[in-house]
Amino acid sequence: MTGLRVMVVDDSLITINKLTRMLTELGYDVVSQCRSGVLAVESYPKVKPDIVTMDITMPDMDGIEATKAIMASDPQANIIMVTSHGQEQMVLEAIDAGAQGYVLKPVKETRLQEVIRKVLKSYNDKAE
Amino acid sequence: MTKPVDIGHVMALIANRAKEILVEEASIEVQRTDFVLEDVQLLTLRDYTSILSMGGPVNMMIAFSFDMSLLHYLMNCFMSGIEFPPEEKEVYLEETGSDLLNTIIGNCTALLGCKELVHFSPPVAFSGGKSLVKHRHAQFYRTTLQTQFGDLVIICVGPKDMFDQYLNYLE
Repeated sequence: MTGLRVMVVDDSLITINKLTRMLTELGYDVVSQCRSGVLAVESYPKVKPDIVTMDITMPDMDGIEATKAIMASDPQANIIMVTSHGQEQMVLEAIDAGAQGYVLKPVKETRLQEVIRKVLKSYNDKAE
Repeated sequence: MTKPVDIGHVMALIANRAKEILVEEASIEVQRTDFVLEDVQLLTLRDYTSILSMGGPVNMMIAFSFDMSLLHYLMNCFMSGIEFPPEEKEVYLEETGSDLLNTIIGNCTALLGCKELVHFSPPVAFSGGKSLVKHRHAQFYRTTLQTQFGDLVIICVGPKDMFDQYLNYLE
């Protein structure tokens, strides 16, 4: 166990289940699952996860808007976009919104772990 | 103003990415691809259909229509090792189709070569086959991927503002 707490945000039940299984196998503790950006923004301050995985295309509020809202409330938040949207312009938009990592669906466990490690290393380097 | 993307190009990209994902995620080889890139007059939907609308230079609705046997097989692959209550099977079948559609269309946005950001809506799903007859100003395109578990029919209809999210014509 890494002991790190993760919030998974995605409107797809399939992806939520898949990510939860992968993250659990990698030793992370999935403490919250949200199916919309609105729910993620509401839940974030209550849950205070170490990492958020964020989809982009969702009903109510998309992942870009949700990322901006979470970063506004907690500039130290670690948000990784996990999305099918592969356009370079979208990656740049996500980074502008405050995301620190980008994983393209279909998600591969090795890629997910690699991006989480990079994001946490960068976070720890800044904290030191 | 951005030039609209050629629909034949979009269909070919989607079909190719769908073939790749079926192999990568479920070890399903497409045995035959039936490309109908000319405008067709009649579309017949299969057992389950997931649909989304694309914005910007692709002013179309994209639907994936599945034979039940194929969708069932895909659901078992995607949910392998994950337990869910039997009464939720219907929900997971619809989610499987929508997840696959979202993944393939999202991946294709990078391949379209558009400078403009291509947005697409979250998918909606519905069950039950039905037939759609083309109206004068509508466009219908279809590609059928045949597999050993059943067919996946990829459908583009447009312009998207002629239809609701269940592919009914709007007045």
